[in-house]
Amino acid sequence: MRKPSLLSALALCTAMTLPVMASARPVTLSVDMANYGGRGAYLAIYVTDASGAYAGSLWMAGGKSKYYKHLSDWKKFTGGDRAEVDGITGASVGAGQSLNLSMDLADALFDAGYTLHIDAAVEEMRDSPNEISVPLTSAGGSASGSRYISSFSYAF
Amino acid sequence: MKLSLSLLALTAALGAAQASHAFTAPLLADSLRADSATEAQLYRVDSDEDDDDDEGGWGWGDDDEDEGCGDDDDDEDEDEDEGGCGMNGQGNPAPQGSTTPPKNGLFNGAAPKVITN
Repeated sequence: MRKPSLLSALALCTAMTLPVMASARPVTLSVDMANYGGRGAYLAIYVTDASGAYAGSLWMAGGKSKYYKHLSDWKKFTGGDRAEVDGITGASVGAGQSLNLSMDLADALFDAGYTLHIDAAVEEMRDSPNEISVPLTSAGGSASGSRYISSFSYAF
Repeated sequence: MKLSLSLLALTAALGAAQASHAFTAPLLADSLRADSATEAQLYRVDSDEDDDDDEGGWGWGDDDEDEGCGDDDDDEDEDEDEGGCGMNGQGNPAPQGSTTPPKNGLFNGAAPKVITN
């Protein structure tokens, strides 16, 4: 009686775990900052769906929520709600630095019309909403920035 | 001899007049420059052609919203390790790893890992 019970538990755990693993995809995001000659940049990395509606945030570089209004597109979507970035917030990123993020993203985000965006802002310098905009596809992607970001790419 | 002296006097007078002009011209230029500087303080010159509305970025020092939890820093730091007023404080969001990522359907539960270099 004991053996079947253990086997059943193992089978149940496997059955519950496998779908989760199958629906996630490990992704590496790389942001290379330009030498813009200012202080550390605030970056909001977020996703919109095929209709252009906000789907969620992936990362916030910069810890002071009072500055989030300068990430203006992200602010429009979220109202500046810091709960959107609880647990996914880190330090601002300096000029010339690189930010590398590893995360497991839902498989459903790829090849389904979702777009990754990055808003950037630097103290005493002009805000740069939607500086990066890249479709999320299973082939990966890259883009060049226009003001504070030199280049962005994501790969699997 | 008289003629020579007259010519000498005339030359000296002309020279003096030119020297006088040389002194007054820079003064006039300085005056004009000072006027321009005054105007430059009044108008911010922008090279683009838009109307500058909502561009932001001019003076984050003005961003002095009360965060409700003793925000007494001078904004001169690098914003690292500023978790706000505790994990559930009213000010800044919880930093990486201090809580699970938002349940927005994008993540597979685990928090992102970050490297900055």
